[in-house]
Amino acid sequence: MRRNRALLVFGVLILAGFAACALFPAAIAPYGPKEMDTPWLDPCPAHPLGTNDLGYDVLTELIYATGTTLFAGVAAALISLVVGTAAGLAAGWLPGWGGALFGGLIQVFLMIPMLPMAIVVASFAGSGMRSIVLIIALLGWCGTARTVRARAMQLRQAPFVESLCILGVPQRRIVLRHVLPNLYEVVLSRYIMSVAHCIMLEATLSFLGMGDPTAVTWGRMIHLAYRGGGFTRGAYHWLVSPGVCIALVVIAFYCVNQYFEGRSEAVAGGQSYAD
Amino acid sequence: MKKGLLTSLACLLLIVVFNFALPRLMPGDTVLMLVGMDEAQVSEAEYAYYLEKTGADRPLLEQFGDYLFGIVTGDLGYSYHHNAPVGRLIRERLPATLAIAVPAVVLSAGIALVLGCLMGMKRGSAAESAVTAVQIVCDAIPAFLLALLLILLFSFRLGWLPMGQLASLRVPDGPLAALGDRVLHLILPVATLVIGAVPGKYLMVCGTVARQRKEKYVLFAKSRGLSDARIAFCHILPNICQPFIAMVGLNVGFLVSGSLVIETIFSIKGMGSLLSAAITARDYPVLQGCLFVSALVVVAANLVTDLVCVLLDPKVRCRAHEA
Repeated sequence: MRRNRALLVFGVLILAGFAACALFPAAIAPYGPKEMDTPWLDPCPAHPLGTNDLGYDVLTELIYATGTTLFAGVAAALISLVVGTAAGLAAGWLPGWGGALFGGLIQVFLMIPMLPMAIVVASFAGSGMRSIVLIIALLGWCGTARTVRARAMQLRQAPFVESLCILGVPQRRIVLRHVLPNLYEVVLSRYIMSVAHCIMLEATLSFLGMGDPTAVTWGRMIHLAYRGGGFTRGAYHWLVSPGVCIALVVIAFYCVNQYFEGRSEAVAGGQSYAD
Repeated sequence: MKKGLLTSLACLLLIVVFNFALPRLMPGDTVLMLVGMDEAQVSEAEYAYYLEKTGADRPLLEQFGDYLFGIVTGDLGYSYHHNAPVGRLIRERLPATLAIAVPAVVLSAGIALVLGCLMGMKRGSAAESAVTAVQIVCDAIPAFLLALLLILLFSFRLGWLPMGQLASLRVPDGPLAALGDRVLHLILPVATLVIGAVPGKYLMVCGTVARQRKEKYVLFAKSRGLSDARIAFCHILPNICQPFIAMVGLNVGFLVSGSLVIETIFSIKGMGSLLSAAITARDYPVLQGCLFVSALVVVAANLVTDLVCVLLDPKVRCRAHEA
């Protein structure tokens, strides 16, 4: 338990740091987003992470990209959470063919290869930030749905639901007032990890060149650095630092999730991250 | 088994319908969408030619019938950028992708299984914490970054391994030397995929083994004086292998996608480099073909895992028999 508490503090600290960058980039960044210096500078005291091919300070760019990256992850995960919970509840709660239909739908969507699907949709729908977020969300809901479905099926058999039914409480009220709050732990754990996954997927899409050209995210920075010759010219500070940020955020989310999982393990038997 | 088959078919059908509907529903000219061209590139005569070729002015149902017939007979459309059928393009490229993805599937499953069993028996110890922490970090690094770092370390700095492609420019003579050359080229891309794919499976195996450890049959095995490793591999493993195999099956799709991302970095001429070239050129038929073929690979992998589960587990076999 103490280990989990330490993990929580570690994760929250990292996330708080990134959140500060996201909210007040101008106060933290050493330069303005459009200030230019000599291109291809190596890390030095004036530019802790060097400059890129246009002479922008990499650290500044990184700080300004935090907001868009985190926004994409949080928003996409939120949408997929809502869709996933609704579909999972429908699949787990509805009796007969209705539930079976939703269950089958979840199974089918789980099988679709995410990345090629996202690429195809993004190439048709255009690569604005909004469509990228929607695409990531609409492909990521099935994991949540599966977990919610399992929990909802468990809850349907629970004694307190049975007594509610006997009391004559209407179905809709049971689902909204009594079952939904009980999904809280499962859904929370799912949501935290899903933000991390969404950030990762956005980075992958951006790296492949499908990201929003107007919004700089970490993935897009890596894309520009790779395409702009950062790799061949040995500008590793430019190439690697956004990747390190992505890794840090994902690790932080995992740590926070670990804490909540440890707490809920006693309650619900714990839905593990791996499931 | 029957249900799995149904789901697979539904998945394929969904993708076919989706591929068919997307260019026709999107705002913009359907013909241009179907061939993946810009308005500026296409002259009037060419437009008329494309219109006749794609048949975009015929009734939708008729078009769908043709499309479905084409898919069933192996016709995935025509890429006007490459001036070649998409089916042939992918057929040429698929082996390279599978050459990375298949070893990655096998290796990552094996490593995750062994490591997960050993560490699951020691849940809570320092060794387990350390291994798990390393796995979490590996999971958090984006695959493309990992690929770049590995090239940087092993090819640039140390010069041990080739930087990319699947064979040297001059393949050495003799089958054995050629095989060695191929293996040497495969190490880095496969390692990238394996490092990315092990953590998820490892965490799952580790968690399940740790839960199983509290069961009575494990206590009995322990009281017989069996070693931890023997309990893990001979007694717990058979009980947990079914969900594990199912997970590996679902993971195949993930690994094929992962291979798509890193192929460009390792300049391997597989489906991934085809795909990323198609992204830049807006070559929609190729993109859709790649989607369909990856779905096909995933579905095939799932059917194989279902089959393996039936062969391995008598419980499933009996249930399948009853149904």
